[in-house]
Amino acid sequence: MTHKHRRLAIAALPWLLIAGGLVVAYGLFATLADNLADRNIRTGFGFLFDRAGFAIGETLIAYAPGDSYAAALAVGLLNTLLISALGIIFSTLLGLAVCMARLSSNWLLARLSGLYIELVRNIPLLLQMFVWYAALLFGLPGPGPGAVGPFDLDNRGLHLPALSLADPGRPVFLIAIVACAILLGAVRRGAVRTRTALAFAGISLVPLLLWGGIDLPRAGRFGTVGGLSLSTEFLTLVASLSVYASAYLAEIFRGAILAVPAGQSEAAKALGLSPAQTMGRIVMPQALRIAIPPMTSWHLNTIKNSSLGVAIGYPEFVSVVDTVISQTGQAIEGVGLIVATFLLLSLSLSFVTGLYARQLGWSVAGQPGRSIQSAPLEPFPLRSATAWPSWIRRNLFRGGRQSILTIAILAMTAAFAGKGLSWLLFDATFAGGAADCRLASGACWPFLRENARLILFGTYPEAEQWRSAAAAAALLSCLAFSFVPRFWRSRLGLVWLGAIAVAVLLLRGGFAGLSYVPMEKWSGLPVTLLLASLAVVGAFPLAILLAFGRRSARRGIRWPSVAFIELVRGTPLIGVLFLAAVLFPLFVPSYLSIDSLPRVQLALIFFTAAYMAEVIRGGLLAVPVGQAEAAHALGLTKWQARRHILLPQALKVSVPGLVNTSISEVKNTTLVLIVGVFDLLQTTRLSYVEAQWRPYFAEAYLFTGTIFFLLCFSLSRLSMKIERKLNYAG
Amino acid sequence: MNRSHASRRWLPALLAAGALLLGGCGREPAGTGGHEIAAAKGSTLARIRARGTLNCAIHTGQLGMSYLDKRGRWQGFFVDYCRALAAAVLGDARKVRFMPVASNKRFTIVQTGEADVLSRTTTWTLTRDTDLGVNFVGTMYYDGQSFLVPRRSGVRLPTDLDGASICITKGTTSELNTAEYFERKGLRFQSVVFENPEEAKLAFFAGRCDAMTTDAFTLTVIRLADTAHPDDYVVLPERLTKEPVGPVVRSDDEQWYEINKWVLNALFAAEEMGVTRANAARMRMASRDPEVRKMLGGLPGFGKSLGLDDDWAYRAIEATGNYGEIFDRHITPLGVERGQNKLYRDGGLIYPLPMR
Repeated sequence: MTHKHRRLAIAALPWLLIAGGLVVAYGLFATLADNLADRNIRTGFGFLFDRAGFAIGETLIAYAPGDSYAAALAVGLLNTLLISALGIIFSTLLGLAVCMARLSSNWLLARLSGLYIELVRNIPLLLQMFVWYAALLFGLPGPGPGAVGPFDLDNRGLHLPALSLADPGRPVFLIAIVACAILLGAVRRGAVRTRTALAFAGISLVPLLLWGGIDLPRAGRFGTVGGLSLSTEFLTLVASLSVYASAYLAEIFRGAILAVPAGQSEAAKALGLSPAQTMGRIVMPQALRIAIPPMTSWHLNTIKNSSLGVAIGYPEFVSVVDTVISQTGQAIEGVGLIVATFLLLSLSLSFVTGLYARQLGWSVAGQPGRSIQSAPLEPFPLRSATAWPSWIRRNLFRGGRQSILTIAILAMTAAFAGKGLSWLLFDATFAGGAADCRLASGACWPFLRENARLILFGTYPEAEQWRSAAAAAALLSCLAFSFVPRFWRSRLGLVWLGAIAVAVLLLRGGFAGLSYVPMEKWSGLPVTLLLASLAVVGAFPLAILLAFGRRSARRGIRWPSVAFIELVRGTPLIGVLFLAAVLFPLFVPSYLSIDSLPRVQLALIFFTAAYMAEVIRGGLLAVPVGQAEAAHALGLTKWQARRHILLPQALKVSVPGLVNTSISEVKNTTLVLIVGVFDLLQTTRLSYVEAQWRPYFAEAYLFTGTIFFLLCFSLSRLSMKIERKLNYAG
Repeated sequence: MNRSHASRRWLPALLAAGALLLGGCGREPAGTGGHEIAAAKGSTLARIRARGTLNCAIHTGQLGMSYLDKRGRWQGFFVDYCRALAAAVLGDARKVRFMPVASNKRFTIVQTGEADVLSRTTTWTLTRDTDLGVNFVGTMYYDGQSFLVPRRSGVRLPTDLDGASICITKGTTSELNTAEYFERKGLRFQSVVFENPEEAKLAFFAGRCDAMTTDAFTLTVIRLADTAHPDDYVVLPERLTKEPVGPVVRSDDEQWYEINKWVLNALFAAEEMGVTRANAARMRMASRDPEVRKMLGGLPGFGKSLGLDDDWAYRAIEATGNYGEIFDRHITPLGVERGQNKLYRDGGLIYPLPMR
């Protein structure tokens, strides 16, 4: 009887879940409607046609404050597209270059590019962006008086000569360009001869000669005017997006190149092709088709990451939407626009890549995840000194070209290291205050002495900061524990939960003589650690449910799971955070209001769950079908089979992927500063706001960057360690 | 076999149960939600009393207006308003929870009821008053928008800034006013927009912009506090706009709005009547003016019509002093003149409403 009841309950469970979900959804929307009506907030997209009233600094199309909100949003969208396109192009080129360097047989070059990849991948993009911005803003001179060259770089941006077309020239030239594009298509189909097309292209340049001119940058009353100006914010965004993505793309390309069978390049060599020809004609074309799916997904990331422009005031789409929300109060419509737009961008990029790949007859099906073999570098014989000379000859000075390369790199490294060391040590100030630092040219270490507490613990009451330190220590020691294979049990999750609880209690206080500290004062390192670890631990059970949900045979379960996962993955994190920070209060009754920190935490958990679910689903796909069938034959119920047979095997396979998701989460926590939570990066920015400390931003970012690097790098080592262990085990 | 039979037999029943559940519960949360909100509508005061603290949204850090002192306590002109309000409503000026909030999120926090009052430099405009579901309590400080420029730039009038780049904070009226002003004058400028004033300031001093714009008060403070040589910078004397700033409450609670309006007015009136923090206790009983005694609760006063006791104004003044005292404590030390913020009888715009 009980058995029958249990089965019944199981059969009813999905329906109950759906019913419950609908009830909750109805309640949320009813509350929303009530709240909106109560607060007299307009709804609908009617506002799009109202006068925007604000100016936008950089526009690709004509825009004036008198234009509509829709026009302002279009300006933002075009800026996003421009930034994304440039980011994608530059990151691909840079990624290819780094990949080639990484695969070089020159030991020094390979190692240096490896260092570049590790550094870039283990430091949050937002931090890198702030470093670029601060370096350009404070490192470059302001617009000085006097003459301006044709290529002028100051802290307002890069000023270049621009092509200008007098009035009738512009439309004529545009038409000519379009005609050329059509003609190019015709040439490819073989309908027009190449010579004809070239002749026409030549003719289309005539308007340039007739009406064109060169617009040179020149000194105006306020800085440089004329020519093409690329603002500091624009340069920062393009540079940081390109560098960040290049490190990941380099590894994708490397994996793809190594996946091309060795016989191919051997055959090319045997045919007498040069190494360059082998790479360009034989290996690259084959590698590219392997690299296309992961590369596309990274390009999608670059598009989503362009939304970080909001943090440095570049008027891309999210930034414009943010302004619109604050002017109109219509947060729901605003966040809806962000989600819809980025989904559309993601879908169109996937579509275009798919089309292109299909045209070339490639398959774009995802590759099963596989670890990249490390490059065949000969390890340095540290133990036997007698082997050193021959190793050096083989790996650094084989052949003339190789030797020149080595010497050039050594010279550059020496110069760089010399500069770095004198900044870090020889010219640095170690004692005294800001006044002493101003006299020296090197680093200002008193800055860290004075501000380390502010960076680490922020606005937490000074007398109680030992609690902040203890909370951080609890979480960090948990991380250290996770490295010991003996503790790799499912109970480790419970240990993490315990450490998180301890950290929260310590920070909060209000018991056993500890004074109560409200959440808005929590800041710095403990907040970053807490957000990251709770995001991962909290997302884990949700991710398992979503992964099973996505594989469920019932549409009522599968579709919501798919919709959730794809919606979240298609939206930039900043959109999800806006949702939590601005929208959440509108969806719940006012007596349920919660602080912004738990709100942001909830958003991070949902965001992480969507990515983790895909990792776990990959693990589930890797479990042989026979396992489920055998479980069924043994008489296990569906849930028993999932719980005891499928999940353990799937999780084991997905552990490295899960740890990698955790690394992204540590880096992602930095984004919470955009919605006003004081994480480690925000406290770092606050540390150099005061007039006397303003010049020492580099020290601040070096400090915080090192913390993030150590966290992420150690996690990536953990991932590799687990992966190795798993490979040995089976 | 067994299972499929069971599910076949039970499915309709389950569906029916589900439908019942949906119908029944679907209405319920909305009903309770609506009820709660209806209850909340008239009772911000009741909620504050039940909670025991006043939730007060303030600026994240602005010298003079709201800033953290050395001991980590919030201080300032707008912070004191909340202290006075808490004293009037809860009887204790310390029972305030200060919630620092960025410019672009400030209305949401009042709209959602998270904060009972928004007490920071917020300009009173028609659209904000009507579209955002909030009410402005009154004008606590009269300001106007201006520009901060380096002295060597030679800029004397806003119109000299044609073609300049200007650092602005996002989501402020200054952002809109600047655009409108330049459009009206037929001039051009390049806006460089920042998420918060700290960043705008940092960029301005790094030379990213030719001018920085916001309320003249803020610019005066920045010029004094954030530069090594204040004389190298000028706040332009012309005002682009009128910026009456004051506290904001949700518009759906008339009683709470009135309490705020009259607490603010009591601070003005106290200055007019010569009631100070030091003499309030004495004046309450011994003043020869019955209007003063009535305001301070020495005679049966107006507490009941506001839902408070008769000592509310007395407690507020005892906690923070009158308007002039608050001004002198926080604003005067920064070297900012009272100017338009003098009482009407001294040639200013502060005009206390009759307390009778």
